[in-house]
Amino acid sequence: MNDTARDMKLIVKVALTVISILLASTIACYVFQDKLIFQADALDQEYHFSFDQSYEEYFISTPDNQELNAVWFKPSQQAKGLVIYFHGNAGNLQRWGRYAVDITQLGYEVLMIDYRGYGKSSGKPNEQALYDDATLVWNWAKEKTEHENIIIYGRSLGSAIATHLAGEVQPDLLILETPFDELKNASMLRYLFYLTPLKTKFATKEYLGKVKGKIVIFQGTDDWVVSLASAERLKPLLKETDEFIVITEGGHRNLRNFILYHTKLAEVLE
Amino acid sequence: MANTILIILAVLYATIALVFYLFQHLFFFRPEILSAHFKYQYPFPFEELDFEMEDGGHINAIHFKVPNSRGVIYYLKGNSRSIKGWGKFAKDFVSNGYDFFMMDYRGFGKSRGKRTQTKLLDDAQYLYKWLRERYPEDKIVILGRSLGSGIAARVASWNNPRMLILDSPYFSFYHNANRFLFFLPLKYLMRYDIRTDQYLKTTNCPVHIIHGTRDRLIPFNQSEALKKLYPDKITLHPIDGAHHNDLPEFPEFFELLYDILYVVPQDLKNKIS
Repeated sequence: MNDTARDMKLIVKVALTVISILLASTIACYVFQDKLIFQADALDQEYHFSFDQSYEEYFISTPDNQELNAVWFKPSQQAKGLVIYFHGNAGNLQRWGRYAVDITQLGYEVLMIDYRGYGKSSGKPNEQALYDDATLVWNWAKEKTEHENIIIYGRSLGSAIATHLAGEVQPDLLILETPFDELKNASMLRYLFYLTPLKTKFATKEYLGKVKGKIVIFQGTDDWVVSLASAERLKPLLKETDEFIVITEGGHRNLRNFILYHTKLAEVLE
Repeated sequence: MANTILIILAVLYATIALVFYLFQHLFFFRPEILSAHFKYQYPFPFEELDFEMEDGGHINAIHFKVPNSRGVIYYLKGNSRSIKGWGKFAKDFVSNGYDFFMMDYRGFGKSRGKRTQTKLLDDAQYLYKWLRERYPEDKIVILGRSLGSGIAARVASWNNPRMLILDSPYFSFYHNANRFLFFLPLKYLMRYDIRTDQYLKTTNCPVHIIHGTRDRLIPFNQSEALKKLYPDKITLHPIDGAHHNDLPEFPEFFELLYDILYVVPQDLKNKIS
């Protein structure tokens, strides 16, 4: 066997390996896409949340007989309004509830829900159901609260749900933390996802322009989950009065460690 | 021998694919380039506007204004020439009490800058936002013709305009290009795929489609296919016997536009009755 033939064999081997790895990971992504996107942590129904502030717990029934678990933080002083918070794709209210203080300390009540399949909420998550549940929660909260001023807050995956809801119910203010233009473009993994037919879209960009109220976006420069580029693709849809706040060196999970996040949040929640 | 022919055919095919890939913009865009000093002349009062884009691109547009206008027509033109000639379409709207706004896409007329699909759509959105600062959204009508129809649909889907009118639209860029170049793997070669069929999904406003039944460049059945996808959203108005470029020669075309644009708004109707 001469050298060229050996080289050819090696090239074919390497090419086949690369192709099979790509194929295997694409198939894995396809099969497990729901698991990758919705990283839910279930909680026992008896689980007792531990938060640093008082809260009320509710269960909201959906038309298809699922129960959505909600926690409502009410600061002791007279609140200025209510913020409905849609959390990210991982964990449950035990994790996300700890962030409520960033908003309650500014004098707002915070209502957070666990998506279906998360925490104590029953059912299995899917895109349309999450949108429908968000509308349900909005209507439920509107009935229950005396506040006229209801603000929608969405974080990461929750930003798509928050934006979809805002386009429907038109709140005065929509706050998005680390939002993407479309789930498949969000991260460095997008090249892998390009090969995978995704069942979900979570296309925030489709809904953002329909929001008539003020929009405020927080995004870090060093975010490896949702790239700055992905968030920036939302910019053409912002109005002159909207704000796109870039937090230098901010990542995906640590924007609350930056003073700019808190000063700006205080400003818009004035 | 057979081998040689096969190789020649393969090379020929690859060359055609490569030529299409490299020169596709010539196929999609037929601009007329104007000097920055060129002076537009129209029989109606107008204002010439220049927009500087974030990436260094430059968009030139004209804005015709009438006193006490009923709103504005945001006209997204076809793929040929420039607003120099297209400006004449302002007449049909200005004479009926509408302001009229039209830009040249990058590389057309006095507009400059690198053209990509994203930039084409983002420019159109940027100018819509400019209009939105000047008109309430329910007084903005987006009208896209031919190439511009997909851009118009995209902008309409991103916003809340009063209405979207599509003049001789395509189902999708790919869909129409594939009619001519079905033998090429277009999905991998095309750098543009404007998906009117997708954009209409999130469009909330009423959509009117006007299309000549004898259109050979973009056949009427593409509008029928759009109508089939969104039967409740779309009103389809066929113009019997019209082709792609002769719609203005049909009086029905203007009657239709008139009907669409002058429908008494619902709340006013209630007040009258």
